[in-house]
Amino acid sequence: MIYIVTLGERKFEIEIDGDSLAVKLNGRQVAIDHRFLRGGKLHSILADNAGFEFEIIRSNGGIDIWHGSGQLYAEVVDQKTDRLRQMMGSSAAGQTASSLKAPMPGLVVKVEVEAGQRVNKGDGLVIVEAMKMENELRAHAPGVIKEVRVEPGQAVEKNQVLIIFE
Amino acid sequence: MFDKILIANRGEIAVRVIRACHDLGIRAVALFSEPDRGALHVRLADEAFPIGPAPSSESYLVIEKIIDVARRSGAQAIHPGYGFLAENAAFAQACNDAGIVFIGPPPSAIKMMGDKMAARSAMKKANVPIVPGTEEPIDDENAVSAIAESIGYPILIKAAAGGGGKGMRIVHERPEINSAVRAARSEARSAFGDDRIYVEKYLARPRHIEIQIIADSHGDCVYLGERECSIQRRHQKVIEEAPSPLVNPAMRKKMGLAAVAAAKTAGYVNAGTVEFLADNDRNFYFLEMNTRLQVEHPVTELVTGIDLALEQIRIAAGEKLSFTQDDIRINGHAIECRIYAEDPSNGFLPSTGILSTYHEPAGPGVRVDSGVYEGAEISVYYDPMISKLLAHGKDRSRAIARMLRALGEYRIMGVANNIEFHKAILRHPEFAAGHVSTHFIEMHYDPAAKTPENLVEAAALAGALAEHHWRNKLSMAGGKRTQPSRWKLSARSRILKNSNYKGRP
Repeated sequence: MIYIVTLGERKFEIEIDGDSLAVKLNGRQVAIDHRFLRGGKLHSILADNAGFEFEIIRSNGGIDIWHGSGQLYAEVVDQKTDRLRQMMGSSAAGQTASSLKAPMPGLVVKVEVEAGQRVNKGDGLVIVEAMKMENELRAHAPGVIKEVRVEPGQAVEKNQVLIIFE
Repeated sequence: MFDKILIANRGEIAVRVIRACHDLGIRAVALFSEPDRGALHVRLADEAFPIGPAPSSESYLVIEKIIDVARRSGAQAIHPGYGFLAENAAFAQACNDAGIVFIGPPPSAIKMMGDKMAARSAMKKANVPIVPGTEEPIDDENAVSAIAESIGYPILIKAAAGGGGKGMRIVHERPEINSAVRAARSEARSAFGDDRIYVEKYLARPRHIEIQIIADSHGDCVYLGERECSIQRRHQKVIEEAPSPLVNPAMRKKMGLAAVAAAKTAGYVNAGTVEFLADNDRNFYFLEMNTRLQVEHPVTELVTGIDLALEQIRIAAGEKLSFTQDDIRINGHAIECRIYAEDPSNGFLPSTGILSTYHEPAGPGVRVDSGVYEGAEISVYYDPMISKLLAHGKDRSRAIARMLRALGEYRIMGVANNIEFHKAILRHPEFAAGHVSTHFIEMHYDPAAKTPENLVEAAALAGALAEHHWRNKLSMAGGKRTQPSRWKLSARSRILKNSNYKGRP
């Protein structure tokens, strides 16, 4: 089976032989020893004898790959699906955000804009308090506010949409 | 000596103090808010008492509840840790009034040092050098502007009751003053319940160097060398070390004596820290005195061999210091990295979640002070610090190498963290050269730093292997379902045999 792994801007073609579990990375043979530690939760991998540990969790149509000091997001599909996607031109990676989302859970302290308002790059939009620190979320690009979805005093979850741009 | 001590805190510092109690054979009493029922400090204490819901304003900050727990548990003393009520003079006074020993300085010293303006003028009188600025609170933007014109931009607006970077704003030019004053006041009001502010000259690229002092109730006060705490983000320390690469023996003595003078002026007893700003010409200015055990106290413990938390308890029990100034030697070099649940690539914003994999480093010269364990949750309610990782070596370069080794052993999954950030700082040639300042991170840290190529490749391989594994498991499970169990098959045939069923008509 051939899998296409998209990790940030990188794309890898990984071939796994169903019976022997021989692995090729972009056509290059890699000696893999893949074990499950801690009841299957932790993937221990020796890739050409170099050791790595990962936790891999399904998330938003892809997978979160936690390594010991951080997190990577990847999409894994088989080659057939990848070709189909390319033909359809509907890679999930191409979507652009037209909204401001909460980068962390917290409490809205102040909304600095209203619907219809034009903002420039760097303008303050919403102040969210988290861990007792006030964080001002600013506009990444110029635009017009279409809708404000939160109000002061409101608790917000991570990735909750706060503001929608036109 | 006490039989039982209440620790009025949570997290790693509660664990640290519980350990000091147990080292002295003293029973430790913990308290906890609702979400902290399973926290490490509760698990390690001898007794634990609930004190209310998650928000600290309804639990860890409620003086009456804490005094009540001390009474009910029979604790003779309370250790406040850091943060929460540690620098609250009213709390120290409430302990005294209830006949419970507050393990810390007298309320009068907390009050004087807690009012940053009162502290500044007291230090000026004691001939301790201070940063130019105001000695009175300032009400309006115009007054701030007038001061700024006289001492020159940039200026720093600070909360009179402040600390930990809260209620603090830098102003580079006049138009920024209004929003900076508003933000500083609002943050100060919610953090300290006091929105008075004052103004100081903002020093370009200063170092933050602090002196640990410890004083007993018999009039002896000793300085335990300095800590360099210049590596900061959002005005909060992330890496501390002792000794400072800048400080030589002459400067150490000068700063140490100034710190002792500051402590004596305040009538200080117990452990405290005098913070200074310093420039590369080895001038230094009093910044503030922290009237508590500092987060970064372990670096001093490692290089002096003195257990500060334990000494705090001894001093509170009325005992004399067990050492004199001449006994203090600085042995090797120690570094602390604060491991935070935060995302350095996204403005160091705090993150939350379950520590799904959590494995602490160990081995020679490594110490981890933490209040978590695998499976514990980092919640929105409290400080996002996961642990303090410390490395001790015979000199600075050995300590750095050892810290990098320890960071490499650390495994934290499930919550974004700053381990890679620490590695990047420790590997930076300017850090290795000891050229640090409070602007180090904005000058030298690249948040877009790439994940190492071999790790990305291995992660891609792991992703494909996991997907392959999941698909095979699913098809195996699906295959089983098409074939009913043999028990069912035999039961069915027996029923058919025993019935008169002759098939469909």
